[in-house]
Amino acid sequence: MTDLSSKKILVVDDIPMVRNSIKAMIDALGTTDIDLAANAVEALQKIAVKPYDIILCDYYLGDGKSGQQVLEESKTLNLLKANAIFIMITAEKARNQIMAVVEYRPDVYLIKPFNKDTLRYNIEKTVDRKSNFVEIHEAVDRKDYKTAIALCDKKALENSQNSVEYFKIKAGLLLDTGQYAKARSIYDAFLAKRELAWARFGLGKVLHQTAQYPEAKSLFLDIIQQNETHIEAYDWLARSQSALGENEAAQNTLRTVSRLAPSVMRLRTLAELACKNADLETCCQAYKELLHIGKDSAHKSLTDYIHYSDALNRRGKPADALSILKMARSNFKASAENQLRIALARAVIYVQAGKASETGKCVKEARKQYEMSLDHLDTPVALEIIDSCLNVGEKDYARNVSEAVSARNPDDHSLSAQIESLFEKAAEAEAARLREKATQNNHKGVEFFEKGRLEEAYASFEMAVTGEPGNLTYVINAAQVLIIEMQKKGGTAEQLKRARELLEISLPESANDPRHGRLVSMYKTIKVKKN
Amino acid sequence: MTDHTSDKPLQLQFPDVLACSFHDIKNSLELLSVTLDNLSEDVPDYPDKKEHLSNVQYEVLRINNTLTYLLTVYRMENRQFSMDMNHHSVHELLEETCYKYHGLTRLRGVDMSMACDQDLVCFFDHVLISIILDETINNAYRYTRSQIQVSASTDEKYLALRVEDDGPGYPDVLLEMVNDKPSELRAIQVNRNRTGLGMYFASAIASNHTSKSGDSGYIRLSNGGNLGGSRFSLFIPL
Repeated sequence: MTDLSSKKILVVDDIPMVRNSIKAMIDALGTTDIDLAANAVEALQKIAVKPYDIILCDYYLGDGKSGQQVLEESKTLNLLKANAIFIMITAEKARNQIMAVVEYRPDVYLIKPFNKDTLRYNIEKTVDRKSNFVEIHEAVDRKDYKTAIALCDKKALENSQNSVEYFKIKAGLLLDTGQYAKARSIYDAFLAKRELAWARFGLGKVLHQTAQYPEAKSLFLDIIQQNETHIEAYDWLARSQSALGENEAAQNTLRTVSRLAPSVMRLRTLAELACKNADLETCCQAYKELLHIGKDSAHKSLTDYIHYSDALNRRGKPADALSILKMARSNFKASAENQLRIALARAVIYVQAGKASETGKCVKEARKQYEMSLDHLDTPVALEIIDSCLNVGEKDYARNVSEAVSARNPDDHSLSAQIESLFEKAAEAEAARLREKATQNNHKGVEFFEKGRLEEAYASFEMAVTGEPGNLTYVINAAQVLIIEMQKKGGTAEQLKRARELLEISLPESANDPRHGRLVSMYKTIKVKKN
Repeated sequence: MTDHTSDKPLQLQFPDVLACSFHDIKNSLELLSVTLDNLSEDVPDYPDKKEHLSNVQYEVLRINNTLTYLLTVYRMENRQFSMDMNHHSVHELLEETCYKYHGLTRLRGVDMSMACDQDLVCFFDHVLISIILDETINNAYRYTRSQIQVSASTDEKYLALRVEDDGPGYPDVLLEMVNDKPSELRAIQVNRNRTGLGMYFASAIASNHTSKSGDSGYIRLSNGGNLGGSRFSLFIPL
C-alpha cells in the first residue's frame, strides 16, 4: 500500500457537509495535510500556490462552474505536478467523461455515493498507476519523444496490465512526431481485433495528416454518428472539411461542437474561419461568445479583442469596435505591448472613419511605446503592429518592427513574404490616395483656369503633377498655363527651364494631345524676362 | 392586478425532472453514505447498533443501484445510451468491489474473498459491469450465511465473472426465469425482497457486450457452486 501520510491533498466541493466528510475519510487514512475549497475560484487560487499530490473535486461546483474547468485551467496554466492525480467526483460518469477531451481528462472518476474504502482504493490504485506513466510523461514534457516511445515499448512488455494504454500513448506520440505509417500500423492492429473508439479516431487523424481528406472526413462523420458527443471528432471533422474547401460545412461543424462543449479555443477557431470566409456575422457572434466565456480564463488573449473589434469595424460598426477596445484596456494589464496594440487599433478605426484629430491622438499614444523591446514580440503580433502602423502612416516604426522580427526569423520565407505584401499594400493605398488628391488638384486647376485665376491654376496643376507624375495630361495642363503666363509677361530662366522639362516629359503624349505641338511653338516665342 | 386566467398551466418536462431528480437523489445518497461511514466509526462495540447501521448502508446501496437502473434504461429508450467499452484490469474491478463492500461485510461478520489472475485484462464497460457486480453482491450479502466469493476466469470465448455465497440459494422460479426463458425476463416480483429487476438489467447489459464474431454476453444462475449457496455467473465475450 502506498504511504499517503505525506501527501498534500485538496478537496473541492460546494456542500460543506460533504467537504468535511471527505476530509474525515482522508484523515482516517493517515494524511494530515488536507486543504478545502468551496468553489472553482478558491480551488484555482489554492492550486496556484501549492503543489498538491491529490485533488478531489466534485464535477458540479455551483455558480455554473465545474470541476472540469478547474482541471482544464490547472493544466493549461501548468499548475499541476507531473505525478499529481486529479479525481473527479461525479454522479454519473458517462456524460461528463464524454465532454472531456483527452488531455483534459481526470485520472479517475469516482462515482457517488462512495465510502472511505472505495476512496482509499481509488487513490492508491491511481497513484500506483500514475507512477507507471510518470517517466513517459516527463520525457514528453522535455520533448524527448524518442525516449518516450522507447519507454512505452519497454513498459508494455514489463507491465502487461497496462499494455494497451502504452500502445495508445505510443501511437499518439508517433502521430505527433509525424511517423504516420507506424502510428497507423498500431491502430490497424487493434482495429483488426475489435472496434475500438480510440483506434478508429487515431486512424482518422492519420488519414487527415497524410492528406487523405475525403477518407478522414467520412471516418470522423462515422464516429460522430456512433457517438454524437465525441468532441474531438468534431474538431477534426472541421479541419478535414476546411482542407477540402467545404468552408460552410466546417463552420457549421464548429458551431455545433461549440454548443456542445463551449471553449475559448473552439470559438476562436470558428471566429477565425468565419473571418477567412468573409462571414463577418458569424465571426462577430463567435468572438462575442468567446469574450464572454473567456473572461476569467487562462486562454484569454488580447488578439481576440483586436480581431473582434476589427470585424465589427468592417461591418460598419466603428462605435462598437471602439467599445470592445475599451473593454480590452480594462481586461488586460497595461504593458507596453498591450498599450501599443490597443492604441494602434483605435487609430486604425479613426483613420478609416476620417477622424484626423482622434487618429492623431491615438498615434501619439502609440508612439509613447516605441522604445519598448521588440525581442519578445510574437510574429503574429508583430505583423498586426506593422499592418496597423502602415494604415496610419507610421512607416518608420513599421520598418523597425519588420527588421527586428525578420532578424529573429531569418529563414522564415513566409514571414518575409507576408511583410513584403503588407508594405506593398500600404504603398498601393498610398499611391491611390495620392492619385485621388492629384485628380482633385487637377480639377481645381481647371476651375481656376476657367475663372482666369492663372497663378492659382498653375499651382494646382503642379500639385497634381507631384501627386501623379505619370499622368501626362496633368503635365500638359501645367505646361499650358505656365506658357500662357510667360507669353504675356515673359519668363524667368527658372520658369523657362521648368516649361521645357514639362514639355519634354509629356512628349510621348503629343500624338494624342494636339496642345503639345502648339505649346512647343509658343515656347519658342517667349521672351526672357529681365530680373 | 394582472389577470393570469390566460396563462397556460406550467408543464413539467420529464427529461428535466429526471435529470434534476437523479442529481438530487445522488447528492442525498452521498450525504447518507458519508454520514453512515462516520457513524460506523463510533459504534464498533454495539452489536445491534452495528446491525442497524449495516442495514441502513445496505439500503443506501440498493437505492443507488435501482436509481442507476432507472437512468440507464431511460437513456437506452431515448437513444442517449452508448456503451463505453475499454480495456480494464479484471483484477482491479473485483478488488475495488471487495473494498466497496468491506465495511458492510465486516459489520455483519461476513467473510469476503476474491480469486482472479493479477494480469487479466478484458474489454468491457467498466461502469455498467461494476453496477451488476454491486447489485449481485448486495443480494449475496442479504442471503449469505458467512461467506461471499467473487472470482474471474476465462476460456476460449468468454470471461466469466462469478459471485457465490453460502446461503440458501436461488428460488426455482428465478432459476427458471433467468436460465431457461431469458427472452421473457422482465422486472418481476419474485418475493418481497427479490424483484427480477437486477437480473433483467444484468441480462440486458451482458447481451450488449458483443464480440466481432457475433457472440453476446449472458448471465446464468445456479445453486451449489464452491460455497454451496447461490452462484451468479456473468459471461462477457472476449
